[in-house]
Amino acid sequence: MPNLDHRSKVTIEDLLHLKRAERPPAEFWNRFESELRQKQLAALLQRRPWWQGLPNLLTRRVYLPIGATAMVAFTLVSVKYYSATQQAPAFEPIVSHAAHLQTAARVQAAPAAARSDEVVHAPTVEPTVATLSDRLPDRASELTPWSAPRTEQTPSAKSIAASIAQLEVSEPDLANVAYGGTFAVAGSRFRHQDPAAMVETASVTTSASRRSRMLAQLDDRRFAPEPQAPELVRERLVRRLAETDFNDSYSRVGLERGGVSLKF
Amino acid sequence: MNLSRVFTRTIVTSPERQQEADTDFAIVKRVQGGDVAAFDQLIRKYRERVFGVVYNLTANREDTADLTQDAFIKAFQAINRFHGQSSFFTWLYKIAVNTTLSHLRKNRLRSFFSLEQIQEDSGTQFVDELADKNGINRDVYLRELQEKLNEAMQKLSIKHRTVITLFEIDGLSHAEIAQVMDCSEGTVRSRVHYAKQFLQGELAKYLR
Repeated sequence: MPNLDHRSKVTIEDLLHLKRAERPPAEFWNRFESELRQKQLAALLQRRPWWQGLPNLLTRRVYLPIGATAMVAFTLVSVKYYSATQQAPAFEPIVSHAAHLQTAARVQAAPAAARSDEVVHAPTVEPTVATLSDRLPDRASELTPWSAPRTEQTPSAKSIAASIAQLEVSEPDLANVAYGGTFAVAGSRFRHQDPAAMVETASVTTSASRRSRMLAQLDDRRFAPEPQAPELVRERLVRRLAETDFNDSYSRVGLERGGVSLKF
Repeated sequence: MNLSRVFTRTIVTSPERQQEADTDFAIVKRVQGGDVAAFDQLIRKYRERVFGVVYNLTANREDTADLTQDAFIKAFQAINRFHGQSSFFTWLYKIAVNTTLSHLRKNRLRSFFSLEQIQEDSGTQFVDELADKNGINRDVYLRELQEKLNEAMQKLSIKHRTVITLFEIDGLSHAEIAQVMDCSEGTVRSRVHYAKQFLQGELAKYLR
């Protein structure tokens, strides 16, 4: 019996090298070669479908013409679109943030004497209020030439427009005060006025003028309290509205469910 | 110098492999030029190696013969697409491995052994010693070892089996295997390590 201690170590690599010895006999290769030749001839004679030739077509030197054609097409499209954009007048921001800031600055710079019971008009401002709604649909078609102009309105837009129109009809002054004259988009009344009138509607009122307007509405016809409302309530409301401190504290007055709503 | 040749030189680092790659590329050029018979030289040169790779992946000699022939036919049909970006044998190995892996995935459930005879040559001396130690007839022991080895190999995943076959049995480098299998060298090293550990566990009885 051989001495096992003198044997070299058998590793997994030795076992795997054993698989190198798993080889077919020599005569196998003769058969293999004849079969391969037959298959090779069959493959040569076999008509390949057209789509199998696409990779060969792509590997040929057709990249340059394809790339050049793509570049030319892209350039033509770009130039055409750019020239169309250049012919159209440049987009002017209709109600720009800068214009708002300028207006606000002018109002703040108004003389202190304006804190009287008269309405103080802001300095002359470009009549840009109504142009937002007038110009935008036309401009939209220019900005998106590939899309058809949208004529239909959403239900919410219709509802808002109807509400504003109703408010303008029933309470024109209140609507003007409440929206500061800047929301005359849906109302047709302001569109037919001359620019000067529109500037007037866009004027900014002081707290004193607001108070005077509200009191005038209450005293004349606008505010119609419930018939069964006690007279004491009306008097108290008039007195409260007449107070200067109170007048300075609210920002918006409206009519709601037959009552007065104040927003602070 | 042709750019593809430069690229090939960066991949094939061994001088012997580089010389072999140059020789193969010259033959490929002849085939591409219309000398179809020149492809037979490449078949004779690589048929045993390709057969070995496919056989060690499938452990079935009938399937191996068909798949090896298919690999050579695919290589012949696509010879015009070979521009020397890699060595020809790496490209051929890639075709053979992909053909075999596709076959194995299609016939995942149908697998049975059909093993070749082990040709006696150097490297099998340890079998005599192991057979003596276990008191078993040498041929019987060799047959048992072969079956256990193939069983363990078939338990590996296809990717691990491919990597261990190419690295340990065919002697390809990590870089060449990475090129054949379209993965990184780190992935190849990791798979080789895992496959060896797995086989050691499976064949512990035959190791000492």
